[in-house]
Formats: sequence, C-alpha cells, structure tokens
Amino acid sequence: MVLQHDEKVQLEAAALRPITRPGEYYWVVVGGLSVLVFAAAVAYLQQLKEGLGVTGLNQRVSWGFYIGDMVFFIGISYGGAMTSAILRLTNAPWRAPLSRIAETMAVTSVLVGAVFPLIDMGRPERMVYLFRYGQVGSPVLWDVVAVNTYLIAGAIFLYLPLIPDIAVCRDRLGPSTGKWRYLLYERLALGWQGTEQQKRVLAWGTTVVAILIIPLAVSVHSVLAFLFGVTSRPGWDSTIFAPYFVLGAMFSGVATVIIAVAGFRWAYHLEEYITRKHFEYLGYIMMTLGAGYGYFMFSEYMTEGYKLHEGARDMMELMIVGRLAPFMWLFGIGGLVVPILLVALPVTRNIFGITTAAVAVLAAMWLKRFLIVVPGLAEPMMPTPLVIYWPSRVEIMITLGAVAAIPLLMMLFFRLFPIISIFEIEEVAEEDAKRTAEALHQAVP
Amino acid sequence: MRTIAACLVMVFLVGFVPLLAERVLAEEPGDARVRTVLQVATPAGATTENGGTMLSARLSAEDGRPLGGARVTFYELSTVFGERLMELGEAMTDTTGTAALVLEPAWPGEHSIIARYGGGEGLEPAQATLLLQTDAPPNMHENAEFGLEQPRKWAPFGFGLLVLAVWGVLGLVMVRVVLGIAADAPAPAPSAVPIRVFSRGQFSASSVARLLAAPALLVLTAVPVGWFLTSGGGGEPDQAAVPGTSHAGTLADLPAFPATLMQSISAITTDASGDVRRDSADFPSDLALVDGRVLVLDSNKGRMLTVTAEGKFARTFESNRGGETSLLRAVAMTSHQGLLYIAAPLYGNVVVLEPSGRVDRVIKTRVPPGTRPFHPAGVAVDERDNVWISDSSNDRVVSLSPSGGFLASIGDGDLDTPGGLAIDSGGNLWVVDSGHHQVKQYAPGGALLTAIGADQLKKPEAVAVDESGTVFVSDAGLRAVAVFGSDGLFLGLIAGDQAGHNGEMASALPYPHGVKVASDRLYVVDRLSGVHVFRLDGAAVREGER
Amino acid sequence: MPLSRREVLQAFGAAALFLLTGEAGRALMRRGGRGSSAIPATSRAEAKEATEHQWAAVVDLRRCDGCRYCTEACQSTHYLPKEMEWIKVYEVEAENGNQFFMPRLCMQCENPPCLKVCPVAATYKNSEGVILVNQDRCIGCRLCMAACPYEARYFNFRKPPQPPEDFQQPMPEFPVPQRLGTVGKCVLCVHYIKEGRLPACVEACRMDALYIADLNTRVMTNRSGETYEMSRYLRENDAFRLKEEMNTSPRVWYVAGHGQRLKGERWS
Repeated sequence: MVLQHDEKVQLEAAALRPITRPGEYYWVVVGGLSVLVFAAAVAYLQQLKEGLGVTGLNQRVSWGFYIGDMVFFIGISYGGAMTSAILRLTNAPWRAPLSRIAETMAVTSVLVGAVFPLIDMGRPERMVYLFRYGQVGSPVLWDVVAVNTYLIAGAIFLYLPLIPDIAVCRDRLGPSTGKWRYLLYERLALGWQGTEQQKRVLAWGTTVVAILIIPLAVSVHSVLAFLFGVTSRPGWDSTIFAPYFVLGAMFSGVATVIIAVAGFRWAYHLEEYITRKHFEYLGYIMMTLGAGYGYFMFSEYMTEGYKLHEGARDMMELMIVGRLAPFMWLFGIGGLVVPILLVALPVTRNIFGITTAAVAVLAAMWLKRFLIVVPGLAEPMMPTPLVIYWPSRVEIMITLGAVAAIPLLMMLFFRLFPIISIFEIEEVAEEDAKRTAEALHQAVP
Repeated sequence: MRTIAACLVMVFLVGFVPLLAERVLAEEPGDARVRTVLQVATPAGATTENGGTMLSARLSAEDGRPLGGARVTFYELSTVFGERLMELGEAMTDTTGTAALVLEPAWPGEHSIIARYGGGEGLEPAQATLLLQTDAPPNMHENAEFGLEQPRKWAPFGFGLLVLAVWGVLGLVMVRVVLGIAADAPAPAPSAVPIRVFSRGQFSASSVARLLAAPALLVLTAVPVGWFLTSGGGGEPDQAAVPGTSHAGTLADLPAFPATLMQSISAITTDASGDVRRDSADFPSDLALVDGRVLVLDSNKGRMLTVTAEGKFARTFESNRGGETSLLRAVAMTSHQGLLYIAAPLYGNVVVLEPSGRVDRVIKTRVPPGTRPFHPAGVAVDERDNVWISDSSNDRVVSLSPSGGFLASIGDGDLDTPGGLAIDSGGNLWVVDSGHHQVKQYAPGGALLTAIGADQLKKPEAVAVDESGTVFVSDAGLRAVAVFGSDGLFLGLIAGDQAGHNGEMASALPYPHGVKVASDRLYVVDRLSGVHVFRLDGAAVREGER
Repeated sequence: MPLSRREVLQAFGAAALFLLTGEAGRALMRRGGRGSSAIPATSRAEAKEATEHQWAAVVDLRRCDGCRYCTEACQSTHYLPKEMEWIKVYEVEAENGNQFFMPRLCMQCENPPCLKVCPVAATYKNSEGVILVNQDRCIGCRLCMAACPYEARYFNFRKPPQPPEDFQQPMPEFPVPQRLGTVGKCVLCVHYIKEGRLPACVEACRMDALYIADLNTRVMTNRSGETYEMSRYLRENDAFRLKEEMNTSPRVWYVAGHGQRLKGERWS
C-alpha cells in the first residue's frame, strides 16, 4: 500500500523528532558517554607518553585487548551489511525501518574499530609508513586497505538513501534550524526533488553499492582472520579462520543491530514502526547465524582435537578443562545455547527476550575474540610455561571508551539526520503496491 | 690400637701407593722418543669431481720407516674470524704411512694447509705445512627459496588492480548519483542565506572533463615520479676491489742471511696415549726474553708457556679468560725490566706480569676511540716506562703513560694497519707498516725518520732491533725473517729449512710472527710450527746483493 | 546497463580522483613482492659487498651448562632490559628424563615468516643473510612476533635503557640504543663480525659451546679458537635444526648431547 498523506506526515514527524526534540535524558546520556570517551582519551595519552608498557601485554602475549577489540568492533559492523545490503537485495520489506539505525551503527563501529590498530601500534606516528613503504604481502596492509575501503563504502551506503531524508529535513525544518545546519542540509541534499529520474539514479547507486559492500565486508573480516591465520601458532594455524571470522562477525553484527534498534526504539518512541515482527525476524537470523557459528567451532575443534598436533593438545586442554575453560563454557552456553533457545522458544520470543539474547550474544562474542587472540599467543611454541595475561587499567578504560563511543556517535548523528529511513519506507511501500496491483491484475483478468 | 694403625697402613698401601706409583712412573716423554717426519702434498692430478683436492700426508720415522695406524689431523689457516686454524678433519695412516683427506676449497687462491701428527708411544709429534693454490670459484651458499616466486611477483599488481577496481566503482557510483540528482535540481531559489547550489547546466560532459583533467594529469605524472622516487637506490654493486698483487720477489730470488737454526720447539706435544698435551702451544703469537728464559704467548688459549731446558713447552700461567687479565687472542708481548707487557685485545688493557705469571698490574688504557675498535697488534715499552701500542684497526700508534693515560698518537695518515713494534737502542720506535709493506722508524716525538723494506717485504708482521741497529722483520708472505742493516740495506732472509716437496714451498716458518733478538740469538715464534731459535752467523757479511 | 562515453569518462575521472587519496596507487608504486629485500638507506653500503659471507651459528648442546653468560653479555652489549632475551637459554626435559639446556638465538631463517608479514619492510635480510630490524621504520604492530615460530623477537614496551653518550649511533646492525615501541632481536652481532670481533654471546660462553659460522667459506669457530670445517663437523656430529618441518630453513644448527633426540620432541 502506498503511504497515505497523513501517514507520511506522521512518519516524517517521528523520524524528525529526535532532531528537534531529543528528550530530557538526551544530554545526560550524551554527557555520560562523553565522560567515558574522554577518560579513554586520557588513558591513551598516558600510553602515548610511556609506551605500551602501561598495558598488561608482555613479550609472549604481545596482543591482547586492543586487537580483540579491533576484531570485535569491526565485526559488529556487519549488522549493517546484513540488514541493509543483504535484506535489500533479497527484497525483504521489513528491513526498511531498521536500515538507518543498522547502517549508522555499521559506519560508527567500523570507525571505532579502525582506530584500534592505531592504538595498538608501538609507533602510531609512523602510520604514514604504511602508505609509503607498504608491503603487499603483509596482512596488516591488507587490513588497512580493506577496512578503509569498507569504511568509505559503508559511508556511501549510509549516505545515498539518506539524501532524500536530508531533503525532507531541508524542506520540513527549513532555515529555522540554524544557518549552518540548513547549509549542511542544502549541500548534502544535492538538490533532491524526488523526481523519477533522481529516484532511478539513486536506486541504481544504492543497489550497486549494496552489491559491492557484501564482498567487501567478507574481505574485511577475512583479512582480519588472516592476521592470525598466516602464523603457525597452535590455535591460529587453521584454514577455516576466514569463514569463521566472517560468520562470527555477522552473528555479532545482527545481535548489535537488535540491541541498537531496541535501544533507539525505546528512547525515541518508535514503537509504531519497529514492531515485534522485526525483532522476531532479526532473532531468527541471529539464531541461524549462531547455529552456523557453533557448527564452524565444532568443525575446528573436532579436526584439531582428533589429530592433536604439537601445541594443539595443550590448547584443547586449556580451553576445555583448563584455566580458560570457564570463559569458554560461558561463551558456549551463554553465547550460543541460551540465545538460540531464547529465540526458538515461543514463550521467550518477544522483544525483551530477543534483546536479552542479543546482549548475551554480544558479550559472549567479545569474550570469544579475547579467547582467540590471547591463548594463541599464551600457548608457547618453545619450551616455556604458559604465560598469563591480564588487562591493565588503561586497556579496560580504552575498551569502555570505545563501547561508549558507538552509541555516542549514533546519538549525535541522529541529532542531525532522521533515525528512520523515510525514503526506504516509501520505496518499500511503492514496491508493495506495485506487487499487489500486479497480483490483482493477474488474479482478475 | 696397633691393629687399627696396621689397618690404616694397609689401606694406605693398597689404596694410595699404586696411585703414587702410577704418577711417578708415568712415562714422561723423555729423550728415548724417536723423531718422526711428516710430509704433506697433493698427489699430482688428484682432484675430485666437485673441485676437491686430495691431501696426502706421509708419516715416517727418522730412519724412513713408514708409520701406520697414526692419527693425522689436517688444518687450514682461515682468516674469516681472525686468524684461526680450521680443523679440516682427521685421517689414519695406512701401512705405507699415508693418510689422506679431501679438501674442498671454499675460496680461490692460497690455502695454507697444516698437517699435524700429535705423537704417540715413543714417537715424537711432527708437523708439515703445504701451500696450495686453487682456482675453484668461491663457494656460494644457496639459500632456501623464500615464498612462492610467481605469486610474489604478480600479487602486487593483482592486489592493486583489485583495489583500483573497487575504488573506481565506488567513485563511479558517487559521481553518477551526484550528477544525476543535481541534473534535476531546481533553479536556485532566492533565500536569505546566500548558498551556492549546484545548478543544471553547470555540469556538462566537457566541464566535467575539464574539472577532472587537472587532477588526472597530476596523478598520471605523480605515479611514475613516485615510482621513481620510491624505487631509488640499490644500483649495481661496485666491482669488488681486485686484491693487489704482491710486488716483492719470491723466496728463491732473495739472498739468504747466514744463520744457523739452533733449536725448534714444536708447537704440539702429546702424552703417552697420543692425546695432545695441555702444554702444547695451539696458536702461539709472540715471545719475550726475561732473565734468560723464553716465555711464549699462546693466544688461542690465553696463556703463557715457557721453554724448558729440554726444549719443550711447559705451561706457566693461564689467564682468566673472561676477565680483565685475559690474554685471549693477544698477539703482542714485550719484556721490560724483568716484567712482561702484553697488549690484550679483549678489553684493550695492557697486562703486566711477572715471569712466574703473577699479575703485577693491569694498565687500563685510556685511548681516545677511533672509528673502529681498538685492536692492539704490537707493544713496546721505552726507558721512561711509557707504553707504545699499535692500534692496527685505526692505523695509528699510540703512546700511553705508565698508568695508561693517553700521551700521543703517531703515524696518523702515514700508516696502514700497523703491526709489531720495537724500540732500538737509540730510543726510536720501529713500526711494522703492513699495509704499505714497509717498516718505519719514528722519533719519540713522532717524526718519521726512515722507511725500509718496500721492495722486499710482502706481509710484515713484527720487528726486532739488536744493539747494532740491525733490523729483523718477520714476514708471513715471504715465510721468513728479513734482515736489514742499520743503514736500511737489505741483507737477506732467514727461513730455516727450505726443503721443498714435489715443488711446493714447505718452509719451516710457514707463519712467522713474533721476533726477538738478544746478542747473537734470534728467536722467532711461528704461529703454526712453534718457536725457532737461530744463531746469527753473518754479522760480517755486508757487501751487496748476491 | 550500457555506459555512455560520458559515463566512461566520469568513471575514469572518478578513479583518478580516488587514486590521489587511495592506497591503490601506492600499491602499484611499490616494488612489488620484493619487500623482503628492501634495504633501508642506512645499510645500503653493505649491499655493495655482495655475498662474500653468509653468517650462521652452531650450538654445541653437549657443552651448554645453562649459565646464561651469553644472555647477560648480549643484554649488556646492547643495553637491553632484562625481559629482552635475544639469546635465551631454555631448560628442556628430554625423553630419557635428562635435563638439558638449549640456547636459542634468532635462527636467521632463509625462509623467514617474520619478513613475510612485516607491513613496512622494517625487518629485512641483508646481503649476508642476517635478518635485521630497522627501528627507524618499525611501526610496532608486532605481527612479526606472532609469526616467529621460535619466539625470538621482542618488543620495547617501555623506554629502553640508555647507554652513555658515546654510543648514540643506532643502526640495524648494532641497534643501540633500542627504540621505544619497536621490535628488536638478535642480529648475530654483524657489526662486531665486520670488525673482526666475535658476537657477544660467542665471546662470553664460558663453555665454548657457541660457534659463529660462515656458510660460504664453511668456517665455524668459537671463542677459544676451536675452528672446524662446517660441513664435515655438522655431518659427523649429526647436527640438526629446530622445527625443521616448518620449512623456515634456519641457519642455526644444534649438536645434540646427553643422549637425547630432539626431533619430534615434545616440550614438557
């Protein structure tokens, strides 16, 4: 059904409300998040001054929280690729109200995730060397290229469907919102009028980028996996690492979308547009991906555990019955079994249940990243005992800062741009109408 | 009480007496040992297919009877990590007394081969040297393959192309969408805020082309320029300098200085079971004369040996190898007022010892650092107790106060790899300038007085001067000691036994180094064969060349 | 969809624009695939000497008694903090219950994993086969440390100890002082070898168990002058290399003693 006029007005009002009337708690939340981010920045300054010795890293476990965070945050951006791109290409109409939130989350989390390699570098001021002396054979270079490309592509993918919405802001809000803001809207809207030709060209562009962003996303997490997979360390020396990471990223990404959608829905009262059905569908996707991830894990551990090459035995013992076993089982049960059950069982398949499942998945996936990075290095390849690693205050603060930065950036973004993709909802409605008309036409000759 | 005492006595007799007896009665290598002769050669035409050369050593007793079942060890002089004797391998002699080993030369040119027989029951040790020339090309170690060749070559282009394609598509989308939207944009409406709006007609194909032409041109020129800049350097390596050929004559051309070999103390001695004795001089370097005793510095083991009345080496003093009194690899020693002065390279100290081995003091040298580490190759002490050391790596000779303080540096710019030092009766300093194939005399103030030997010397090592001013220079290239008169005239060579074997040079001084002269005795330390003492006969022979 | 000439032009123009800011252009600008042999300007002089020597090392495990003099000498020579053990002596239990000591220095692999993964070619192989780190270029990503199967690379987490004034001449062949935030490792003291000295660990080993070797002239020697012809020595003493199955082709050989076999050994 095509949107009726008053429906459209209501939609626009709902979409624009966060921009005009963010609510009493908005500044409190922004303030709180900013404090966390600021504290993280201070911690990083300390690290810049004294070197990476302020972390809990040592000569054997030389990667820890930062690299785990990098993989994690870049991973959760897959939610955007999934909900927006894949669902767009498969013509799933229910994605429309979610896509803006998903895409924004994708871009912000890639942005935050891409900062972590810099934080982890011993000499961040030499980042330029990656471009001057970059070696094509190095996974670090692949990482830099892929993440940057994905960031740009994600930004484009966010921007293109945003153009009509910016036009709405420009038209509805007008110059009264302030000189610079109006200028921003005017510039970025590119003179959008909603003509057929413009819509056509926009649809074409969005589709092309949607097609492109999927292999790009796959490549990004694959090269992140190769960072570990090209070494010969037990636990990392695995051929399944690239698909394993990609699937894990999709899994955690969908969970993040659920959380973000739930959060913003509650904060900005979008209940009318984002309904339980959305959560259910997202929950199904998350559940399927979770099952897939469990399958990959099983394949990995089964083949390693059967042969028990040097180092594999100790790793297995460490993860299944040893020091890290509690974390591993916590992940398995809390991150895979429980969420799947929560989604599968009808009694818990509601917004609250699914959101809880998503939170569990997110926390567990963060833990899993840690469980991939640290044991791989802690397990020695020479005759030394296992090395312990515990994060330091600096690492924890920077991680918390990153976790806070994503909702902060999103909230600031939604202060400027509509939280619901009006254009996509309209687009979907039109498609729907076309399809109904065709079906009717065929049914009634 | 008595039974207990008796038991104790019994235990003593049974237990200790045999031990004592064994020690007392142990065979000392006495004069009853038979002299042996070792000869080493390469049988004509004996090369293996991968360029190896057969080394054949023949061991016989003094009377010519071949000795079978003896262990002969082959060495080669190597200069890769400083001068060292590289063990090539061992071989047992057969019934004809011949032991053979294949040498696979790893570099072209000269190979100094040394064969040593350590001695056996009733048999003296023996040594032989052989100089070999091979022209097999230098061995080049073949590295394992690094990565996969083809993917490494083509991967960057593939990667670059892929990235370009993706970025190109993204760029295309952006440009097309922006232009497509802008094409339908309305004419600029009057507004309170003057804003530049992209309007129709401003973006035709030609204007786009013009707009993008400049950056495109910039990039197209930047890429090759950038390529050129980042790929700079790594040009053709310079041709390795061709080592200069020696300009001195061969041994056969130069006249011999009249001298009689009085005594040769072989470097290696063995005990009853044929094992090399700890008293052997593995790689002696220099010697000093103190109170009629000859003390020899064994640089490989960092210790001092003395020559006994029977003409054998005896161990006198082991230095603390890692400590500041370490004599490891020390090649310069002199005596002064009854004390031994050794310039030790490990810490750059001068270790002053009494002949018994007791450390008198350690002079910590305070030499200003040169461009290369301080490497003492010669030492001398003048009558004011100042110590002179030749710093061969930095091409200079430095003088130090008795406490080690730096006094002066001479020969800067003049010397090339200075070696041994000696102070003559006039107080002037003689320096072996091995890089220039000369020996130079300096006044204590640093003025160059004379330079001799340019036409004769090949690889001078050390120098000694007697009271009349005759200069004795040990030369490893000539394998002899060159003698010069006080006027600088070349008088002849002292080379000991020159018996050749199959046409090769087999001098008794294959590697002469330290020299000291006292009245009519010349003491030469040969690093391979041991210590040789010559009686100088020809003091009267002065007229011209022969 | 068919592209008009205008669109093609637009595409090329757009691609060119992105080239300005994109890494793709630089990927083509670099000397492809030979990053492993990129020689920084500081050591370009060595390249001219061609391959006269190829350094390697031999460790005689029969003699090592675990005194760690080698570690101390290396640390004091290079002004390293205590945690950086460029030569590290492991205590290993052999199959037959014997305890033996195994010094491990950088293996100077001929097929090194660390070289493959360095994103800026800060670690490179010089003309004599020694793997060096250019601490002026290292960005401190530590992927090389994860990739090294011998755990021979170390990172400067804190400000490294500073030597007295005379020493401020750091170069890859003698990286003193170390730089904060970069990776350091055993460089086989190539700087010393060139000046006729022995590596610090070889000089310090009181049991004469460490040998420095040249694979071209096949000479190996220890600090007390025991010099052998390398190929014969390795053959006659059944020398082996660590982790041979990884195909890193290391240049450090071990002579086993104490009756143990190290091939296929499980560390306890």
